Amino acid sequence: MSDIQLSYDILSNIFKNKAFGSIELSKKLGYANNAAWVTKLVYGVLEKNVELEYYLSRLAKKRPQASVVIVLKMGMYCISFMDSMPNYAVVDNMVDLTAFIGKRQLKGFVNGLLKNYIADKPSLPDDRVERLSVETSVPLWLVRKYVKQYGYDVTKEFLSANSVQEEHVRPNTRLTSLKHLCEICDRKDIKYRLSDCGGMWVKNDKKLRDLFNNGLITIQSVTSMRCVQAMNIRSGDKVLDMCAAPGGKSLYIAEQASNVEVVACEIHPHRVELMQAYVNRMHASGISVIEQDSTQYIAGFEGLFDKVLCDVPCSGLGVAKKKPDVYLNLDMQSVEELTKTQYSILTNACKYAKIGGKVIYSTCTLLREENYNIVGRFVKENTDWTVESYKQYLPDDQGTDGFFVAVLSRKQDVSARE
Amino acid sequence: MALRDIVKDGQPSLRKKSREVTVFDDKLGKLLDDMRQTMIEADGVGLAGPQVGINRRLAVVEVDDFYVELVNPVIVATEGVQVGPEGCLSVPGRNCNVARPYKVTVEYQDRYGNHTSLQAEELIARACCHEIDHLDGILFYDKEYKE
Repeated sequence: MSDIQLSYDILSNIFKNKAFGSIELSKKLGYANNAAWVTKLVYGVLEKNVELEYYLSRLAKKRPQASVVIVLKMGMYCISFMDSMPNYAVVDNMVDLTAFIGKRQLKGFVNGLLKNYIADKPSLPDDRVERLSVETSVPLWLVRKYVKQYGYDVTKEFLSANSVQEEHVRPNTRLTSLKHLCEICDRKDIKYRLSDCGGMWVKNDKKLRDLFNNGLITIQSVTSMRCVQAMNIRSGDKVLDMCAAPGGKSLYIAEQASNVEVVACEIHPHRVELMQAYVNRMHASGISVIEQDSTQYIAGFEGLFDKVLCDVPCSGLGVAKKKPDVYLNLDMQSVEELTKTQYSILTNACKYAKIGGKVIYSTCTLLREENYNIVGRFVKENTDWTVESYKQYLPDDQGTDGFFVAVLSRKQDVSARE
Repeated sequence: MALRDIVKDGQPSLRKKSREVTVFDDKLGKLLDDMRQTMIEADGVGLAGPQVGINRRLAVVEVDDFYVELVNPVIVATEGVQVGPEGCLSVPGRNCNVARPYKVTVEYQDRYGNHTSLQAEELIARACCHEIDHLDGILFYDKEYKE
């Protein structure tokens, strides 16, 4: 199978069978002659999907069959974004691919459409919101929602922000400090850039591996660190992490102060194992990992914890730059489904907090429906709870992801207030 | 109804303290209608008098299905904190995080001069604070939130 055929095969599984991009790619990349090329093409088509759809809608009178749509998107992507092949070769290859997938009768159509694309690429839409959707390759319905929520300027800025190529790591403060880590990096000639949350940006290379394996450093996003910092963990706190995998926040929570006890829940058994291995690698203590579905109520946890973190499953729009297939199967109905899970996890979380305790609700998404609306509805329905603060961050060029974190607190004594 | 020109940052009217509205007449109603139209056209969620060159204490706010005209508004109570991104129709191309109360109570008059009040939270609270700041010559980036 040629790399073009392989790319088609991978994309077809993603588009038609809703396979996950990263999983599908890692399964099949072994068969590639040039893995980097296949990766670039597959991720590229996913990343530019909305833009390619737009050109397709302008060039084809009727939407072609799903398989031919994939061929055309691959062709247009190669023409506009990859310079490994001259345009005529792209057209030839895509025509051959059309025959290969059993659509011999459409060879002429593919040939004609791609040639038109090269000769006369359709202009962008006049309407600025529609144009923004095409330029940033984000579905129009979603851009419209963002513009309503954040305004056009803010939306344009965060949708156009480039993601940072480096990895964000932090020192394991049980074993070392940021200062010490900087010295090690200097000695090993590892280039770094300090971030504003107590970690550093580094290029992911072999020199880091030892530090990682020894548990001196761990990869953790700025976002994830800020979320934990917002929890304001005190010495002796008993903390529950409701959706803990992969475990980064639980471990960081346990490092915030002395004698912190963390109970980390995770629904999938294989992830529970991975987390336990992570705890061991980091030489962490005070963390117990348990297999638990957090939408189910556990009577034994009632009123037990000083801080409860619910980093709930969400649409992930704040990290879309890193997961280009985020938009593919997203619609308001799937968001609606997520909000039900989110609300039920938050409801349980609040039962587990002590009087005077706090619940921290966080997501890595940008939609009000999953963020503010969840906590807003909760405090309306539960008058003994109030929103102490919340923050909505948007993706930027400096490596901040989009995320939301709200701190809810349980009033000391409701009757005294009323 | 007519669209008004939105005054851009750098113009003096944005930095002046606005005066109370004392006359509640048809002219005021027309101005508020124009402001709403101008705000919608520009995809904004709020617009204050100084942004259309009128240094009077009035503003319009529209978030989803909620619309309010604030004449002589005063924030009388607040609760909690929210930090989030803000932009401004008068400051195109610029935005930053601003800390605002999570909940506000605003006392104001409607276009006929009736005294009333409103309790708002989240985006509406943010928009009210942002617009009322305009009436005192304050722009959002004056209050930029830094970690």
